[in-house]
Amino acid sequence: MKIIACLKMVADPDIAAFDVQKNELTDLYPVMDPIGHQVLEAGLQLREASGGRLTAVCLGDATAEAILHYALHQGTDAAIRLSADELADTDTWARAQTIAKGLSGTPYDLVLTGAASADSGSSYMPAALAAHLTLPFSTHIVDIRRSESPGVTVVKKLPHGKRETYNLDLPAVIGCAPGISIPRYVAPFGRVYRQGEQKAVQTLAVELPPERTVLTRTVDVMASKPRVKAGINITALSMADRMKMMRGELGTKKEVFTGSPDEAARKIMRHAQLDSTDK
Amino acid sequence: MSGLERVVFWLLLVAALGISGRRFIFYFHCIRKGSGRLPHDQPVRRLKAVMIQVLGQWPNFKTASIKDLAGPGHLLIFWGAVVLALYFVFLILIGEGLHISDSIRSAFAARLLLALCDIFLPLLAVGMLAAALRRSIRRPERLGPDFDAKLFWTLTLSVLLLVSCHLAFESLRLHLGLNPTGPFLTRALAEWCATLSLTNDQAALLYRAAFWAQYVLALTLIVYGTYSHHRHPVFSPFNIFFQSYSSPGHVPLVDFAKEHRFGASCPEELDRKQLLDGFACTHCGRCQDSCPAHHTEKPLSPKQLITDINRCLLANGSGSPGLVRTDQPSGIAMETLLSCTTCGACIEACPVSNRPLDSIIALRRHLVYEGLFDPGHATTLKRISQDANPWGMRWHRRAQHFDLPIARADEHYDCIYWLGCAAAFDDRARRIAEAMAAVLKRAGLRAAILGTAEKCCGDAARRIGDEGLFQKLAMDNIHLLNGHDFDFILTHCPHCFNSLTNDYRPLGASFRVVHHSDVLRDLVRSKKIELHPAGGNMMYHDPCYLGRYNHGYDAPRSVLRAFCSDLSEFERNQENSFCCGAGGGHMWKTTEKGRRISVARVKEALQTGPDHITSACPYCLLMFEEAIQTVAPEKSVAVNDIAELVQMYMR
Amino acid sequence: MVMVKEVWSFLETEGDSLLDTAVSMATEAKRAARIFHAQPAGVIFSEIPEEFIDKLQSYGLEKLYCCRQDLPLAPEIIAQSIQTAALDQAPQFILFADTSLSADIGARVAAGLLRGFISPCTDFSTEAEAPIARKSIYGGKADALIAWTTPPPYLAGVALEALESRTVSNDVRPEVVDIPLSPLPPRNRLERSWAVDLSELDLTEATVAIGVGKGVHPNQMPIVEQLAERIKGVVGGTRIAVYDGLIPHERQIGTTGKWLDCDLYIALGISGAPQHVMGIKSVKKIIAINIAKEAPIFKFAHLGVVNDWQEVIEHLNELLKIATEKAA
Repeated sequence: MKIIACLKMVADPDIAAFDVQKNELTDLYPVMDPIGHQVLEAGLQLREASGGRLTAVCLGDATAEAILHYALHQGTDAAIRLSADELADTDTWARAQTIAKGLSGTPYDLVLTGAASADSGSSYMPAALAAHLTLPFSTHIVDIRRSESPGVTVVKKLPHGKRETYNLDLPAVIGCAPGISIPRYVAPFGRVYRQGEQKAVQTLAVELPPERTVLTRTVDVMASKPRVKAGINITALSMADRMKMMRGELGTKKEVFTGSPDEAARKIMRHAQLDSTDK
Repeated sequence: MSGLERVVFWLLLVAALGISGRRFIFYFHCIRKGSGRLPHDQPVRRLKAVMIQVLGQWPNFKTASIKDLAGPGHLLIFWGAVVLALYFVFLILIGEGLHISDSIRSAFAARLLLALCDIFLPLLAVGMLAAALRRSIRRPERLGPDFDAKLFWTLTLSVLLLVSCHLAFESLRLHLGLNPTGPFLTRALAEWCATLSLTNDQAALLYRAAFWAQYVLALTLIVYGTYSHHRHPVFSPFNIFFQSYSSPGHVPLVDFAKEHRFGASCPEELDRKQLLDGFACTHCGRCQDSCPAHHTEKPLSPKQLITDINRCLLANGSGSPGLVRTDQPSGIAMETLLSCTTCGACIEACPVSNRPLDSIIALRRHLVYEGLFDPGHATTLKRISQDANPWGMRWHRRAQHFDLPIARADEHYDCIYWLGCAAAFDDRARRIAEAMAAVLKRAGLRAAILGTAEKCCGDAARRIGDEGLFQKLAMDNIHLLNGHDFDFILTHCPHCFNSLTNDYRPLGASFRVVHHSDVLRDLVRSKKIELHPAGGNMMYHDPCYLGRYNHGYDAPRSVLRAFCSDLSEFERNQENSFCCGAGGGHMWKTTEKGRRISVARVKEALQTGPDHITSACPYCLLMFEEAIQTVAPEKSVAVNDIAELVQMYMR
Repeated sequence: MVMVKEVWSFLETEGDSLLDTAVSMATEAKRAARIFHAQPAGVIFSEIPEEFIDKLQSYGLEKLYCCRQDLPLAPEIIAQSIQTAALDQAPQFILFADTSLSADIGARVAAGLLRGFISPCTDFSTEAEAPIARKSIYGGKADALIAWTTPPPYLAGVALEALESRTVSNDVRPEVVDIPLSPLPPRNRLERSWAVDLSELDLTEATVAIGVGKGVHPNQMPIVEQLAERIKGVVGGTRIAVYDGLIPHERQIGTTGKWLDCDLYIALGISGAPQHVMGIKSVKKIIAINIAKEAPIFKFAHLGVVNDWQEVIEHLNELLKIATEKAA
């Protein structure tokens, strides 16, 4: 199976912050989008199970080379950096178009990507990429296996432990959700690392058609303002409380109960709403 | 001896020496297969060590052997064997073989030797008998697990027979008038022979029978010894001479620019000293006895490891089977290697200067090279690799809101306080650093921390076998420290201390690093801090990386005695301290077999029942607190670092 | 083709019931309709939409586009059906909740219509009469305002933390408009729907979790397991519980274990050491039962109970049993 693993360079989402005084994003440290680790591992495991070739691909400038070297050290057969100009103003649709064009010279059966990106949180890439490649796709996937009929069987993750199993003909695009794999560790200068060192990162310049489309445009970036739910005066809330509200924790106060076990049990029933029927 | 007998005599000798000799040459070639060269610097110091360790049998008198009298017993056996060997060479091979017995025996040296025989050979017999009885009745665990008592009895009886034949031979010699005189036991036996009313012919027959029995037994024992672990008397003096004078934790550097591989997959990839270990090993099992992993039923025995490596080495023809059980069914199991906490007790305990830990690290490196990990280790290495700490916290959260300033490149500090990952990310361990910072403030020392620029010292990575990750971290840390101006680096963590000094030095670092126990002792001595007395009983645990690795036994005790009048010791203390179970990456291992090492150590403390258990290492602290919760959650035993105690009792 | 601008919300159903997100998406349609001066409508896949009309009316919907086929269906079929309906009816907006089902559908519809898909949004507004979506980026560190550069329909996914359910007074009984099911065979074929058994479910996916600590003895585990069965919870615990053999190490909650993100966590006999508390920071509701009133866990629990956990849970199990029997 020929597999492509799409990786993305983002600013570390845990560390990035918004400077209210300067009105701009700060503490931007370029890292590989964390889901990329799991995407690579899923690709490696598929290659180990069914033989074939795994290529890592990343659309980005020269700083993205680090990600591709990392992918080679992890054990991919090849790594390609796609370069295109005007990347800063693109949206997911245009990025997908660029990647699709960049892949046109490479044979593949399966294109793996993250289900959602850590910086924008957008879950559009699998659909956009599949549209530009005119392939079927399945997203939010936590398991991929070769099936007896030609193609792959995938398991989509739904909330509360629910799952759906799909079957896809190849070639196809798959959006990988967190939990699809546990990334392996490759020690520096270990056997696999050394094999990766021998390989070079290919750079491919992608020429974009003049009629390339951008479907959305970022107007501004500003301090976060969570949705004001009915009945809450947001201006009266402190920043900490606003963050709490975003997490749905506002309005939960703490109490300690020292009554009898029987009363305690009833209190728990009420507090946790265990008396209402499960959805 | 008649002409025919003489021929047989020499033929037997040639045969025995030929078989043994060939075998020894084979052993020699096996050892030569190893890499590197045997260390031979400081030859005088080394020779002195051989004198003390071999002739004086000093290691056998160290604690493990004192209790079971194996040490004194071995002294008897050793000297008995030496005397017997001298007798055999001079009086039998040279004397009888070259038919110059009479002139040799007239020399004073020979008469002295015979007198020594009379003393030491019976003692040899007694020693062997005691050893055999001990092995079949008491069956000491450390001699196991595969100890063959029957084989040992055969050996013992052969030696007893040999000694009896010797005494018979010598006394009959005297009785037959071939000697003018003899030492007391021989004389006594000769006089006793006279009472037996043997005819001259009978005596002569017995005399020759005794001679040949003695001779054949001796040759048989030589050949047997060569093929069994009783070859150790030949190899252990060499092993002691070529011993490593590095601290137990010393790990050799890998030059990745030159070496394409790292770690040992087959015996040839171990170094010669490590291969010599297998031949010098006496199978005494003191290493096994002192191993915390073995003590808690994990599948690790340092003795077994040494033996397995040796067996693998001897089994090789031209092809090399792997040492580690990865692709092939034989060899050392991965779990064996992963159970080690790198405490160094095995090195401390070995009487012939073996270093099982060195081989474990070499084999662990091979596992890492091939990408084979304990799942907990793999996760931890990933975390260290991505966020420079083993705790799984993002790097930018290191040491947040700490009460010391972040060091600036353009300022001078008395000390840079290297917090280490435990204090930077774990809330409990953090209190050690906070206490130390308070003490520094009181003492007027100007200290700063490195903030988020500090990276994991790399100790856990290196001990798991990931040399590449260790070196990456080390180079970054050395570069960081080189950019600052300070008198010394302070750390409360023995792992960081060991890393920053011993591990970083070969990479070009030359910082002065001081463990906080030394700083606290100096502050107390110079009265920069005053302490008021503490009540209650305190028990101090020696951390492996401070104690055995860096000889840091006195400073912590000195600090504690400054305010505690009731300081007690663990039964296994100082060089014999029993590991807390966190070292060598063991803290991060998820699949644990056997009992918990920390629980075993805490149970040892609870037998005395102190009010306080104290140590000078954050990981020992965390392990003990956790173990107490499991073992005795209701007991009010406090666990504190010495820095916390100093802050508590500081005026 | 309608003359009035419409805001469509995709409403998730499961068999013959409306999911909670469906109700909050109805509210969302109403809210967006107010912002953009449009009419709120729902898109639903159900054989019996009439069952939901009253409820959806109370949340403000004025129209219901219905495809008479129950879910589950292959996402491609759902998406293609909505796509066709959108081309027919020309809504102004189509909104999807940011769940794994709806987000998937929304992305497919957007790609099919060659439109952008802005997700996950926390708010909508207008600027110079053009619609603007606000979404959080970098996990909530900042917001980006994004505009669509194509003609309507404008497609967006709505962040779950922005959703709420609110009833309004609504006199307009929603009209049901049938939309056809797409006949195209999907290339992404749904084989089956199933659920991971609670005993194998990873702690990070659990909605309800129970933690056991040093106050729980191995022979008390049956009581814990009964509670787990009754409240459909996954059992985890502290590092001590792993050592004592109560739980496997994959079920350890804490700094070096799993970090929970569930709605409810009940801690039994757990003192609340910092290493454990790290793993429950994001839990929405924490209930802790411990015999010691100084236990640090009470600083973090929303409801703390100072008592013998076994007695309390035995009572709780009984109450739950009665409640289930009553419901049946």
